[in-house]
Amino acid sequence: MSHRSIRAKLSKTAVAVTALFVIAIGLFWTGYNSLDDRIITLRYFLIALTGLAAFSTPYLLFPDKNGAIIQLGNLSSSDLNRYLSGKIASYTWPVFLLFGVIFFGDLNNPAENLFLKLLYTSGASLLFAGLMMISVARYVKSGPDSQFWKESEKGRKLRKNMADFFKYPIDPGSVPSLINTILIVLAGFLAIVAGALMEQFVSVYAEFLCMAAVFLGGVFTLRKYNPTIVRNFYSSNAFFREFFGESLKGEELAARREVGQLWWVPAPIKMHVWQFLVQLDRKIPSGRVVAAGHVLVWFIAYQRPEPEFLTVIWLLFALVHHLFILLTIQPEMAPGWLLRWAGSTFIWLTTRFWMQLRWIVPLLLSMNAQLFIFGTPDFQSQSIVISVYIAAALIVSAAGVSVLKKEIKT
Amino acid sequence: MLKLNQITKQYKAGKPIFSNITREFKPGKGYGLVGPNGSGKTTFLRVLSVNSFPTSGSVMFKDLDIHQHPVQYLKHVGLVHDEETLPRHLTASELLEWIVRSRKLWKDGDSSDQINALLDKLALEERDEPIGTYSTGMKKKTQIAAAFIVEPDILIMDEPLRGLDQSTREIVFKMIVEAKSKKTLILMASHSMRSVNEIFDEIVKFPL
Repeated sequence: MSHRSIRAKLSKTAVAVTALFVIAIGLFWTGYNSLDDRIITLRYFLIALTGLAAFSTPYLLFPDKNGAIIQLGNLSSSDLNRYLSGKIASYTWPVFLLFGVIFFGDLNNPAENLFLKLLYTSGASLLFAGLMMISVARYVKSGPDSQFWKESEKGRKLRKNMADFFKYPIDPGSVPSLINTILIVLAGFLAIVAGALMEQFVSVYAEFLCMAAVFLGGVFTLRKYNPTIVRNFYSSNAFFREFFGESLKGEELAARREVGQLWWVPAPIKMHVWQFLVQLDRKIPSGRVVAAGHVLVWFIAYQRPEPEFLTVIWLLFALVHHLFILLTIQPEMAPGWLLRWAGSTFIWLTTRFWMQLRWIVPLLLSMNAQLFIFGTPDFQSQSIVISVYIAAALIVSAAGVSVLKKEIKT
Repeated sequence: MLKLNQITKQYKAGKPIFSNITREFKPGKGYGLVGPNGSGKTTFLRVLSVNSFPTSGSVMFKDLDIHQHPVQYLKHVGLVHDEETLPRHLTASELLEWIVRSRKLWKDGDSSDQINALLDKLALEERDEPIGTYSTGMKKKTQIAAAFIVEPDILIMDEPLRGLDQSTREIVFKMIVEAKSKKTLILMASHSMRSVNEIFDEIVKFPL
C-alpha cells in the first residue's frame, strides 16, 4: 500500500519562490566574501538559529491541526516520528539551503576550497538538524510536566511565590518550556563556541566533530524518548492547545488593547489592525520577541564585524519581523470567510502592511543608537534596511491576500 | 431582492451540483433549504455568500452582480457559515465589536450595550474569554450573534441550530422571526421540522 501523508503538500510555486529568495539572500549576504568570512558568518548565523529553534519549536509543533486525524489513524511511534520530521522539515528546509548557498555561492572563487566548503555545509546542517531533533524531542516530552505545574497545588504555590518575588505573574505551566529553551540554547551555544575554539587550536575537523556531536545528541535524545512519544505527543498537544487558548484569561485580558489607542492607524482600517494586534499579542509575546531580536543584533554588533555584515544582519532581522504577518494568515487567526465578509482584499493588504509599521520606530532607534556607539550602520545602510522592511511588508501582505483569494472555492 | 440568473455550479466538468437555476428570493420571506447530505445546500449558500463562484450565470442583489462587487453586497449580509472557524484569540465581545466597527455602525456606549444585550439573549456568559476555549455550541452562538448584530438585509445561515441546546434554539427561532418581520430575507439550510412551520414561507428541495 502506498504511503499517504496527512500534511498539506507544499505548493511548487511557493517552494520555487522561497528557494530563489533564499539563494538571492545568500548571494547578497556572502557572495563576494572570503572563506574565513563565510565561516564567521555561519557561526553568527548558527547562534541566531539556536535561539530561534529553542524558542519557536513549540509554536511550530503545537497545537497540531492534524491532531484529530493522528488520533483517528492511531499513528505508531515511527509514523508519528516521520510525521513530525516532515512537519519540521517543511519549515526548515530553506535554512539548509542557505547553508549551502553561504559556502557554495562563492562568486569570486567558486571552484576553490570545495572540500572545506562541503565540510562546513555538512557540519552546519548536522548541528542545526541535531538542535531541531533535541528541541522536538524535549518539547514533545514536556506536556505531562507542563500540565502538572499548571494544574497542581504545587504549581499554584510556585505561581504565587514567583509573583511575590518577581512582582510579575509567571504561568507555572510554562516553566518546563522555559527550561527546554535554556537547555537547547546552551547546547547550541556551547557547540558553536567550542567548535570555533577547536578550529583555532586543534583543526577544522575538530570543529566539524563538535557540530556532528550535536547531531548525535539529537539522535540519542529522539531514541531515548521514542517509546513514549505517542502518549507524550497527545499530552503535549492537549496541553499547548489549552495553554495557547486559556492563558488568555485573567490579567492579560483585563489589560486588553483598545481601538482608540491606535492613533497611528488611519480610521478606515483601525478596527482591522486592532483585532489583529489583539490576537497577535495573545498568541505570542511579540514585544518581547522583537526585543530579544534587538538584543541578539546588539550582541553581534558588539563583536565589531564588518559594517556590510552588520547591515545584512539588520536586513535579516528586518525581514524576520514579517513572520508576524504570516501568523495573521493562519485560519485560526483569520478565517477566510470572515475576512471576506468584513472587508475587501485591498483592506486586508493595507491592514497587514500598516500593522507592521509599529516596529519601524524601534528599528530606527536601535540602529541609530548603534551608529552613535559603534559608528555603524550609517544612514545609507539604514535607509536600505528601512526600504527593504517596507517593501517586504508589502510583499508578505500581498501573499496574505493571495491566500485569501485562493480559499474561495471556484 | 436576490435574483439568480441561469446559475450553474460544478466542481468537475460534466458533473453539475445544480444547473441553470433562475429564481428570485424576496425580502421579508423565509426560504428553507432541505435535502440529504451532499445534495448541494452548502454549495448553494456558499455561492450566495460569495465564498464560492458559480461556473456560469450570475446572482444579482438589486442592480449589483454579487460576485463582481462582493464588498458592496456583503455589507448587507449576515452570515452563519457551515464551518465554526472563528478567530480563536479574540473574545466574542471583541469579535462583535470588530464587526460593528468595520460596518461603521459603532456608537460609543450604545454599541457595547447592544452587544451585551444580544449576548445576554443568547446566554453566552463566556463572552470575555477567547473563542479558542469555546465549545461547539458557544462558537455557534458567537456566529449567530455576529450575523445578527449588523441587522442585515439578508441572513444566510447554514445549519445555524446545529450544536445548540433546546432553549437557545427557541431564542434563535424568535430572533429569526423578528428579523423576518423587519423585511430581512432569510436563507437557511436546516433539518429542523419545527423551523419549517414557523420560519419558512417556502421550501427549496435539494438536489435542485
